[in-house]
Amino acid sequence: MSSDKYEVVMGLEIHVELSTESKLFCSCSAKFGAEPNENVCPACCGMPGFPAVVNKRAVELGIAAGLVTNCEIAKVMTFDKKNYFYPDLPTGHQITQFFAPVCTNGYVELDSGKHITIKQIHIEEDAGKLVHEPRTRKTLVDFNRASVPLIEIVSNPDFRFADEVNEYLEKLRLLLSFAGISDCKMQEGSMRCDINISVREVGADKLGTRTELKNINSLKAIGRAIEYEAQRHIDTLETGSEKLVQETRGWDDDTGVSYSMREKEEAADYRYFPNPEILPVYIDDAWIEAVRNSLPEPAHEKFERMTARLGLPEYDSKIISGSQNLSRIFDGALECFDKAKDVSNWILGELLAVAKDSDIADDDISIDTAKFAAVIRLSHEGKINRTVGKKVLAEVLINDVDPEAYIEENSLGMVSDTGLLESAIRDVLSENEKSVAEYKAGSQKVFSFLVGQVMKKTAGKADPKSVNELLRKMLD
Amino acid sequence: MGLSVVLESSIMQKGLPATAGSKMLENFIAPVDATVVTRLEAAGVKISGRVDTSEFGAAGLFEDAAGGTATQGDGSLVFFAKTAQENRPLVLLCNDYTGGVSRAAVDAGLYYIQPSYGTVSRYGLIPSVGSMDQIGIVCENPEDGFEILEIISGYDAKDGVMLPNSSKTYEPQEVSSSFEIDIADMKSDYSGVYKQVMQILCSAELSNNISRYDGIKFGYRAKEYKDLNELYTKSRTEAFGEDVKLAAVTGAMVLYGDNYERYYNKAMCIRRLIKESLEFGEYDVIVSKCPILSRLCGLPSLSVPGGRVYTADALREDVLKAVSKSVINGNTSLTDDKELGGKIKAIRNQKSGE
Amino acid sequence: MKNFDDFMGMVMLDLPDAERLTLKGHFDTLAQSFAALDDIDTGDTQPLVSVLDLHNIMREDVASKITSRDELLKNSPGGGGGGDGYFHVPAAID
Repeated sequence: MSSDKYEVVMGLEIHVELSTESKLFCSCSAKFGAEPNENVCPACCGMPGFPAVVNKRAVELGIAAGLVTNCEIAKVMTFDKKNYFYPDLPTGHQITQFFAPVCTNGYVELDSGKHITIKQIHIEEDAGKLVHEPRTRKTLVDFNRASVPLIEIVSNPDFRFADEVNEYLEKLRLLLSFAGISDCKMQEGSMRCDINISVREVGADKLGTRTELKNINSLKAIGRAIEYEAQRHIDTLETGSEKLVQETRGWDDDTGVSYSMREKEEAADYRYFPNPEILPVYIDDAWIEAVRNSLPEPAHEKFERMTARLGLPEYDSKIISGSQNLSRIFDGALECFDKAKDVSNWILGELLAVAKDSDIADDDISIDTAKFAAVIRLSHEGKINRTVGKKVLAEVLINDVDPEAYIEENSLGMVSDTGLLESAIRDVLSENEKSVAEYKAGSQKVFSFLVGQVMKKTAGKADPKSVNELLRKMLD
Repeated sequence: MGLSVVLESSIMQKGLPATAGSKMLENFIAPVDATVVTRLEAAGVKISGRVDTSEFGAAGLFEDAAGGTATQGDGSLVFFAKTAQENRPLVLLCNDYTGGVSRAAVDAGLYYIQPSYGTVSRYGLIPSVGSMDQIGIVCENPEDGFEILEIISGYDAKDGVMLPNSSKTYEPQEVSSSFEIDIADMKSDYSGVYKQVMQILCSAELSNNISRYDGIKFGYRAKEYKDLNELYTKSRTEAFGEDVKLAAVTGAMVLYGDNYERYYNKAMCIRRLIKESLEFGEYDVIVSKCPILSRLCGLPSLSVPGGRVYTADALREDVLKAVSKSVINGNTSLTDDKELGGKIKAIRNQKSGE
Repeated sequence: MKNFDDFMGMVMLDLPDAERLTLKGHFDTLAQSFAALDDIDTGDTQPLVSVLDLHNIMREDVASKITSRDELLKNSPGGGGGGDGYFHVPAAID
């Protein structure tokens, strides 16, 4: 920050949409991308007479979020009503957790070792979406998103630098997406971040007046928003002409300024009270353990396992463990073919290459891991050579073929029969007298050319190792 | 079967207006049948009409809730009694959380059955006070009333505050023709604040339940408004009646800031104390003139002509059935109108031959 | 501290003067009567939120549809905005 006199203090409130099939309190689909008001029922558009019944999976994902962030899980959690009027809120209140949230007292550890502590995580329903039409002075309301389950992760004001915020968000995204809690896509709105920011003189105890920054839509915008707002606070304090107001401000990334939205409400204005129609949820140790056991291995543990136990290189392990999708493929293939190094090599080599050729991003690769493992095994056992293997892999990825059937149908089996190979080599040598002469004159380069010709003659199916040996023998 | 019922306008029938007695819902067409309607139709019970009682059942909330008569606006219950459908006995289903309907019913010589909380599904019932709402039964003949209760009650997964019990037939216990009436000493007496506790809890919950009515998705919308704020305030101001408005404002007040502890939380604590003080022990039923005891505690009760209210323990509708039989058999001590002096009495149910 | 008019604003009501005066009268009477609760010591009694002593009432995470969009929009005062699938309101200030 641009002033040594002041330090910036920040806390984050992150809203994360849970990966459930249905909404929090009704059975509408919670999936993103439907036509307006297609995923809506009487309950989630505010009609009376449709009692709320809690989605069990949402509760479990709330527990899971607490587990991956080292929180204490509540023994008893309840739901409460938060009252305010806004067109995107169909019932005139939000069902949230005020008195007894699902988790408290957790942390996320940054690379520096610093802990960003989490005050609480609570489960609540999302609001609908508003589309503003300034031309006709109307607002269009879409309730597809209304009552989709969210968790809100509230940190303590532990942040001092924008870097820390970015690292925290990145780590949370990894933790939550790996655990299947949310896909955490900021661009789709499944992860939204509000920043509470204030400044104070270095060494001061009391926190300064805080403003809440909303509408920050990308990780890149975060740094810009923080820098701007902190400076705005400092400038206001230094000039002393205006007073800093505790308020909610929106961030306009295009113009690079924050703008006042509304006075920040106090808790009192929301008139929270316990929801008598949703009975308490008791969370016992057995349930917590069951959730814990159902969680996939977190990224850093996977990295440890790959390097320490499976003996894989750090570079390879970092790439695979850093991607939830590649990790899944790795684990799945390993179950069918237990040579970790081969699986890892095939993923980072052939699979990524084949995916790239078809314009498929790493995260979008969808492949039957048993079939993938079969290709690796067939290559390992010498039934096909590596080049053919890559071709078969492409077919498995794009057309989901059965590898053995495909190899059979297309006669792709590796040719290692000595007689066949010698015959092919003889043909090549007789067709390439010039190259043979060059080789005899001492050129090693031409050897690879001749190998290539043999491969061509065998439609790429020859065993390269045998070709090498035989060719050398027959030349010498 | 031969029974037919009339429904209060807060109970949904698919395709028909469900108004809950409010201008706000004048044109609101129910998208589904309420669970009670589905069950009644499956049992061959005819639904012969719909009537308004009071707006969201709020009439009677701001009267003296510990006794005395509640106004019912248009005297709708008298209207029913006069137009008892096709010479069949009258049965009306309604949500009487204030006890106002039961008081008007007994004044008209009818009975009122309040079921145990959590035994009759609220799916398709326009809500007023979630922690007390239950569909109860006004009837000329309590035997019919209990028969209807047995049809409509029982677990429904679509309502999150239901007891797991399925519907059952209430076998009345054997009842002797005479009851001994004892004066029981209650552990503690909160009758002095029943009214306030009811008003605080009901205002807050009702105020919240009507916040969904904003003129946007359905319901009444003001004809003229210049912006969003006016859309809200004009629609709501024009469409709600006085009792509902009073509940709305009072409900906001009792939840705001420090008031939450002082009023709402306190009322919830007193509610627990009241519930805990109703130890039935060796007694089967509590006699009073106070219908709201059952609403506060979720207990079943029977109101009989003359004004007495019999409250039994949760899921003890069989006791109330027995009491009703006794009343019909002419046990006048049970319909005695003598002033009970505000105290709660208990009846010990004596089996004949004991 | 908030007053009667603040609470009216919170619940989106705006009464003409005469009606406001009457309602305020009732409101003030009620508020006064609520003071009776101050004299009651509830000790360490826990508040009662529901009379039912149940917990963990939850449903499985299965999506299903019970009404169509048209059925829902039919009830809308804006008439569903003439077929675009949205509910319509005058512009809200974000």
